[in-house]
Amino acid sequence: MPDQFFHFEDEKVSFEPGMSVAAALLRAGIVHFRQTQVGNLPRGPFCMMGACFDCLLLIDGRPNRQGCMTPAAKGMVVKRQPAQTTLGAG
Amino acid sequence: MMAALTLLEADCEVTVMDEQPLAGGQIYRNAARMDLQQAAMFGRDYVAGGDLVRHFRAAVGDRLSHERGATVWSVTQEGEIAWSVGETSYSRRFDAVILATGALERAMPLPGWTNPGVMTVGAAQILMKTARHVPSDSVLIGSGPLLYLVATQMLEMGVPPRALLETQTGFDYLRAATKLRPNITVLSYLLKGAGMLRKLSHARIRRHTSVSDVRISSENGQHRVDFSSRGNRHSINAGHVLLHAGVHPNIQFSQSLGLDHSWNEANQCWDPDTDAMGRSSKPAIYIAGDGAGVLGADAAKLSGQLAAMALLQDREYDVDAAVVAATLAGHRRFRTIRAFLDRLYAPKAWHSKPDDDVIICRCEEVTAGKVRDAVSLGCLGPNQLKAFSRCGMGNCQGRYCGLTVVNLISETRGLPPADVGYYRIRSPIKPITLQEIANHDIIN
Repeated sequence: MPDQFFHFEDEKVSFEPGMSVAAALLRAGIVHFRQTQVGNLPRGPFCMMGACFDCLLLIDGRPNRQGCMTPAAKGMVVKRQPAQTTLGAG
Repeated sequence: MMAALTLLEADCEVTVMDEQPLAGGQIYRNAARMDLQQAAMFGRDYVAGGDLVRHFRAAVGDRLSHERGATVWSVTQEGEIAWSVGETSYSRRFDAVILATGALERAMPLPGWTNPGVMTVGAAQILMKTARHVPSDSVLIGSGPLLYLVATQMLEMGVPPRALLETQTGFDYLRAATKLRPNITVLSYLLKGAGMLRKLSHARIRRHTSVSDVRISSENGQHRVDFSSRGNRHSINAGHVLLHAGVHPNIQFSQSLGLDHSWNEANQCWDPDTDAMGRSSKPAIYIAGDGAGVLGADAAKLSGQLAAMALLQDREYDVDAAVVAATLAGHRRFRTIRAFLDRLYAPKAWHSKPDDDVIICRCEEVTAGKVRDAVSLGCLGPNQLKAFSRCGMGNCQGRYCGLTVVNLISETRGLPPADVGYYRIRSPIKPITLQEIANHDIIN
């Protein structure tokens, strides 16, 4: 099956149907997903099973989305999550 | 899956709330979707798991529904369950519930474990199963069967790991050997283990044992791992660093339901109290699989059947006593190998009670030193620690710091872990927006 793409920052990231956003990013060699809220330090996926909340991303404008639990979809706009985010609808 | 199939056979109406998009949990993740050649790289057990998943899927119908991608965020003793799909929540009533929440990998706090590119060994395996991608030049650190399993799977997929840094010592082997009471289950485990070690040795994978005092430094996506092994200091470069210090039950739901738990000294964790069939300390709540105490995937299939049969017995269904007895006997055999594995791969103090500068709460970035300071200021237990430090109050809700906190408070106060207690866990078990809670649909 041909790969499809979503956007991460300025890159196009390919995925196959059924892959999570986090799996596709890791496959593309991207490990830095967010900055932490307290220390503003880089962080990336840790557990890949929805338990650790370290893979939080901005997905289609919505903050705090779990990259490992969100199926990748064509045309998604994914961004690194900065240290300061606002809660609620993005 | 096994519990649901057993209940379905007795003509019960069953709903399986599955957080994953596909059946199979973490162990048989994606197993039914892969072709045989790919699945074979993950071993015979995984291929057999694929058959079980297909069997389960074929059984889904009028009386068995499978809610996929459903994140359950509340289960109450009064018989109400609430869950989220996409960004919409629902709730409904139930007569009885079987918790099958599985295990979490034990946190292995050490300097640098929060750096991007440092993950759990289980996380790497999920990436391999779902994206057929092997993290390159991996250094695997820790101990336990999963370390060898994933390392051999990496070999099969053509991306060998750079090294295994194993924390167990020669003394651990000796002590573990005294726990061995051979039976058929034990022998099959030992043969599997020996086979994996042989593969690693043929492939000339570098292995260090008695590893301690690990420190990870990361720059530009590359990592350097400094460690001690048998009295010498070593350094190794890595593309990825993968940690694994065994697994423990995921007790978020059993805790939030106020069920009784006991400290498991052998596996250094809290296990919910259950009888041999999986009945919890409260009526109509049952626990199956590793969530009731870690015994592995094969034992989980039997405990799923047992929990379902317990439920049926309690509802006065006709349950074949011979089947119950045979399933109990099969399940019991896994306890012997677990005693051996728990002893051999017991967590080490250098990571279960780390140095002061190490972050132990990944979410709120709380260090071990801060926990020790709080205790010296009079903090008595894990729940008070939240007020002192916010430790355990972040998104993961204590899943990855809870046991470290128990160990640190136990050490600093000089109390056994059993007397330290645990975080009080409350719903929502997973973070969701207030809007979602307010707007949730009640299904009759």
